[in-house]
Amino acid sequence: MTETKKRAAGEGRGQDHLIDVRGVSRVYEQGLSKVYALDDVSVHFDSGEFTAIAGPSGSGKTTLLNVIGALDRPTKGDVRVAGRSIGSLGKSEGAAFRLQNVGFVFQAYNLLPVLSGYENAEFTVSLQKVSPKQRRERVMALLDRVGLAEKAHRRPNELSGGEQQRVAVVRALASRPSIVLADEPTANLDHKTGEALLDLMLELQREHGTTFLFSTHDPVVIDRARRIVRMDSGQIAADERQSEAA
Amino acid sequence: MWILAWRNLWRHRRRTVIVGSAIAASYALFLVVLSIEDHSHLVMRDTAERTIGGALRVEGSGFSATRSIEHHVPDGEALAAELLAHREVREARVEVELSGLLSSPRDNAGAQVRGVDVDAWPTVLDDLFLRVGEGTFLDPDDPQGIALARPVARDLQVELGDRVVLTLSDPQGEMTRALFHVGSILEVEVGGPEQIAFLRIEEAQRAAGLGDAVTSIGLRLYDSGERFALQSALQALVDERRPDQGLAVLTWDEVVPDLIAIIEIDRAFTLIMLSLVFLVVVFAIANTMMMSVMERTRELGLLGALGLGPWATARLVLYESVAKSAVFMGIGLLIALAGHAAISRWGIPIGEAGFDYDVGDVHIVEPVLYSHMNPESWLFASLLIFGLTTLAALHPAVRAARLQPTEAMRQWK
Ligand SMILES: Nc1ncnc2c1ncn2[C@@H]1O[C@H](COP(=O)(O)OP(=O)(O)OP(=O)(O)O)[C@@H](O)[C@H]1O
Ligand SMILES: [Mg+2]
Repeated sequence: MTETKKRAAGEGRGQDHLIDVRGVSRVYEQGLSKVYALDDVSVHFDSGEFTAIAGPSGSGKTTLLNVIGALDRPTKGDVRVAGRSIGSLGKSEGAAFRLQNVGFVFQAYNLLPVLSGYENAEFTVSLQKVSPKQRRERVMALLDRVGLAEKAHRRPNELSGGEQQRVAVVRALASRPSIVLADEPTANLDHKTGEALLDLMLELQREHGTTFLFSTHDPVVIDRARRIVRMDSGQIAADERQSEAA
Repeated sequence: MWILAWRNLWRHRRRTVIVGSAIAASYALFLVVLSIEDHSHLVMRDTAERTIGGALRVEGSGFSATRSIEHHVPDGEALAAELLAHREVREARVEVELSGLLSSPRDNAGAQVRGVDVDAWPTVLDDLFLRVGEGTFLDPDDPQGIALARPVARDLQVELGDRVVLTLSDPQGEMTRALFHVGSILEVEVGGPEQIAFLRIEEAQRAAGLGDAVTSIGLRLYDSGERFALQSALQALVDERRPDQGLAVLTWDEVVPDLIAIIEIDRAFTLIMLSLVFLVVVFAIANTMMMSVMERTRELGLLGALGLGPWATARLVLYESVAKSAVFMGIGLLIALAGHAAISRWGIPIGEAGFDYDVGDVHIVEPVLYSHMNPESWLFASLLIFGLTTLAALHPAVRAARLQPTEAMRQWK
């Protein structure tokens, strides 16, 4: 049972959305030609949403997530997060913004090989200068929640791909961000592990109320999302909402 | 952050150990070479001070430079007694220093003739690396007895009891002569002066027509390191007691300025040589640091994406460098301490002659090198090497800070 509701791009401008992408273009110059990784994209996300960004390879999913996470700067347009413009943050400001507001889960190589699972999970929290005791409680609770308490002392190369991604999810949530951005978090996992990870993210999202945005190719993964933004050639092709697929 | 830096340091264990060994070895070399040199300089300073008769010297201004007894200190004994009353002054040694020609019936010899007061300066022979070979040194019962260093006696072809004539110019520049006989012959130890002769001070005064004047008063202090502080105080005292006599209080450094110049040139040269050696090490450090930053582009990009700012990223790289320097400089320090202990104990013989040279009247001989730990040199070397190793990490650190997280992380795709 799917209830589809198309939305016009750019609708809701000026409202209080958590993430507000306004007419953003991101252009890469390649020699003489220009590549529009994002082409005048307007879209917004509200607090507590769990949204999949779907689309073929090269459609601009990663670029959109990077622009929202202040990892990349739009060539044109602006992005507002919680009312704050982040389109033109400097390097240091961008880093500070990410540290406080955004949790990241990447496709692979998420973890620092010289740190244990626990230390990796703790990394962003420790940068936030949370007291060691609080830090430990918070991180251990989350590791326990994802079933990794026992393996927390292991180095990444002693963890399976799925376990590594779970550590990354713990790290993304431990810093208590308002947004978690996950760029193809399941792409390197087998189907079952990927699904399990996604279910876990969904549960954690419900528990913490954090806004989740993740990009994916995987149709099964897409079905888990309540909202699907489909991209093509740097533009938003469709913005669908579906009732919860339980 | 320190944990991360520390673990990163040991990722390429072998590379770190190679670069680290270079740091440890060059740091140890730095310390040991400076310590050997410091000991050498200590010997030079000590020899100079002993030769001059003390850390400070009062003389008629211009005497050290001209050696002319026209510059002298009238009524030397009295002034010496007044100076000795100062609580920092341990001994005051009046002296008449003459340069003249000694003649025997068979030959002539130029020599430095020093009229000394053996009661005030009983260690004069030891201080000058001399030893009585024959006869009695400046026997009070034999005022006409002159003491000759063995080489002078050999030049003159004289033996104990033979007559010797001293020809010199008096304070007015007139030539005068005085007759003596050989009272003792002195053996020259390693480092001692060869062209030297001694008279009882009153005989030297008489021979030179100086009356009760002396050419200098050597002041031995309780702490010769205080000589600069004391110099002006004693100068004031001398000016007050003896206005208008044109007397100068000099440190030994001023009496033999060439020696200080040599020490300084020596040190500068050594530092340049060592720094050149170390520059190679710095280059190696900079290179490996750069390599390790480049290898970790993706990881550093990840750190940036997670919210580690550019400054913190640079700091991370610098921490690695600091940790590396600390560990390997620690090892270098241990090596240097062992080297220093061994060299101070056994020394490094440098052949028959060793170093042998004269600076002014100071004759310096060093057949064996030893080591002396001068805290200033050690601190200087440590700061220099720590500074340079950290500087070597600066460029890689800046490169790390400049990485764009998105570009850096794209690398694995
Ligand atoms: N640094 C870059 N330089 C040049 N072109 C780039 C750069 N980064 C991205 N692009 C281009 O921008 C477009 C969008 O890239 P993006 O990585 O956002 O796509 P994607 O949807 O994430 O694809 P994938 O599913 O393969 O990850 C692509 O055509 C890509 O080639
Ligand atoms: Mg992508």
